[in-house]
Amino acid sequence: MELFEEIYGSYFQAIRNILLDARKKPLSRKDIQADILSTASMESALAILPKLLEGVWSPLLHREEDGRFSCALGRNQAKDTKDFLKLPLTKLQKSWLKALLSDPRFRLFFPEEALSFLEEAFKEIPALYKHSDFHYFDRYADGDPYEAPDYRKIFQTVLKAMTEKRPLFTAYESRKGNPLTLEVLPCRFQYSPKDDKFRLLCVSLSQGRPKQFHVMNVARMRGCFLSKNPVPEGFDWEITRFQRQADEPVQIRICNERNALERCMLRFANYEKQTTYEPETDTWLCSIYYDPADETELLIDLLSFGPVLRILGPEPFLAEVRRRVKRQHELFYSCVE
Amino acid sequence: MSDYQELIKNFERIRDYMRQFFLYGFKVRSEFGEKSGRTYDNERRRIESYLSGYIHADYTSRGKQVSVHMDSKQLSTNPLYAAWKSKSFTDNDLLLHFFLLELLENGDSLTASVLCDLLAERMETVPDLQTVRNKCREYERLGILEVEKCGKAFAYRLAPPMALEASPLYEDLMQAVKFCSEAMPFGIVGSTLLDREFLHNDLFCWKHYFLVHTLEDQVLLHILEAMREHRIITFENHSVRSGNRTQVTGLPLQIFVSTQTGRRYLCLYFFPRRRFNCLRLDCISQVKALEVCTEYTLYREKLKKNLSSCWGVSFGGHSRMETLCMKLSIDEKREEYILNRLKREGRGGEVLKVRENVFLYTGVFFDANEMLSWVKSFTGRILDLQCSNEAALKKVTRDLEQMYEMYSKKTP
Repeated sequence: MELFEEIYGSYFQAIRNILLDARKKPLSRKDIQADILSTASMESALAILPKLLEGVWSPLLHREEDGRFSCALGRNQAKDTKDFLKLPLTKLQKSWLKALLSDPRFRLFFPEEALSFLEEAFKEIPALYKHSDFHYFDRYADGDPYEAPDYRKIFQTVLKAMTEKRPLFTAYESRKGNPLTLEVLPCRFQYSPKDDKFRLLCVSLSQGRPKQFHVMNVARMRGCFLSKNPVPEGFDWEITRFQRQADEPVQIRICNERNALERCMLRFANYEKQTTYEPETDTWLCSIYYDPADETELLIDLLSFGPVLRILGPEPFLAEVRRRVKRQHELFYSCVE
Repeated sequence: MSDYQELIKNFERIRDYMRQFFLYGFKVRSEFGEKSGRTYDNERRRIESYLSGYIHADYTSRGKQVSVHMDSKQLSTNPLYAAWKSKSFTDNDLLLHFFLLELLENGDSLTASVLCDLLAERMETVPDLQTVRNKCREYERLGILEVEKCGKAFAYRLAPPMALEASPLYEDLMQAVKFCSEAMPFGIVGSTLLDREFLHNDLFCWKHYFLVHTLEDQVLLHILEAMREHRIITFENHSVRSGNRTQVTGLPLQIFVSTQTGRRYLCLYFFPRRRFNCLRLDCISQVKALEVCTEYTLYREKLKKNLSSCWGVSFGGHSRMETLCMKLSIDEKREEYILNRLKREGRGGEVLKVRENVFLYTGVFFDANEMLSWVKSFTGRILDLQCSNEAALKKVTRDLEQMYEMYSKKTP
């Protein structure tokens, strides 16, 4: 099977989008361009527009007297068919869905009876892969209990609240073991494959008003149920406004030895970063932009590289590195314990 | 750049460029030694187009430096999927696609010659019968069309939708696909499912998400197909360090995945050397399946028995097992999280309390060298280190000393 097929391509998707819209009402050139940009790039628009409007793809559209374009396909068919021009599921797509069925994280989304229905629906389809084809050798051992009934119930309730955009009452155990009860607006789940954990990014409510941004480990939620209270008017569900970046990036110098550059680039590929080569010293200078909540994790990851990279700043970050390295030296060569 | 096309015929063409731009982000035109400057310009332009919004260009003394800037915590979906959605096609491919869907929409079963006549009424240029037949066969192979014998000819109809698609459960399935399209192997397939419904992920975000490895998915798929059939494979392996390209043959058994870097490795059994070995997926290309290995299950079982002795991807050298003991200073009352780190990150190693605030970690694995990065992440707490691999012990001790020298000086 091939993943790289034109039927999955952005041009086909853009044209389908245009034809569906042009079936509802005739479109201007500007409308068509907007449709392309919603599914493909500006460069795509430059390639698609002339072919579709005046070129070899123009049989797909019908030019109206007012210069706008309507869909030339299915003119005798009912206009409200939502599946018009939708491809049947391909073998690849079905096979991938079948493979998911053996993953406990996928199974979280469904009650048991629904899983039985899905298993029956995909019975004859070969799975694209097996869960056991993969060995995740450095995944943390304290991942979430995806098969525990209480965890599954909580996950499904939060998912429902999130999908329906409704507040949620939660009983939560803090990291220190303190019980908390909060009414929250669930914005997004955050998943980490390394931690093998779901976290809930949410905003707590106080007297019906948004109060504070929280990150809750789903495994530490002890219970939850949907609230009947209204969502505060104008509440913005987007989490990007809560995502922070440290004032200054961490700056490191990477030596040209032990394949340090490639290891570093791969290890920190999940961070936004900028790297430049310095020919005078044959080293690379790299700035890593990070969320202050991840500072300790970044620090220990950097330390794990040893002397092939040198942390240059910012000063408070560097001071902590110095403190740990000095303490290590003392532990090895003095009698400090 | 008169011959520039945004779409590409061969995925391998963009795989390496995309990887280098994404990972390194600092290479300039002259540093892409293997290809011509024209190729560099075309590939750079494509990547700029696919990843518009994430591309930064800086001008340095060595030339224009293009880089991809993205923070995976801020993304809903992997922008590199755009590369998978960039396959080129002919004008006929596109027209036939939409007109065939229209003609077969009502469930009719039509032969290629009937389809050809109907298409001639709709398209300005009349497609030849063989082109229509080929397209029907291609779509049958993909599962879009079904075929049945109709007299001497074959008749094609659209594959019927799954009953599941009409059920309310399908909406729940799409919610799960929003997650799986990023978190599971071959997430790109999930992305095409969401495209099909004009949906996008609005429920999940990610931490420790390594986007670049989607570029290896086609290679991975070919390997998994061979694994499913218990076949030996041969492929080209490109060593990143030496730059050498070698032809490798072996029995593919499992894919090793690092969740901390996203790197994926193919674990093979090499018959001549009679041992397991892991090779990076991003260095593998041109996979070909060879003969079936009748003892596949036996090798898979052998590997399974070995897994608990692998710290990472190494099956060690001559000494079969190596032991590393690390004594750590941990304040039990205030630093329970460090103890938790030892347990969850120690990959089955033993954690013992030696005395108040002193703990001993002992791990026995094939290759202690692989553990050294993890050991260094405890810098500032290590009271003592012992290792049966003397070279590894010297290496980590020297590293810690060098770090002390490095950071005790004030100037960088």
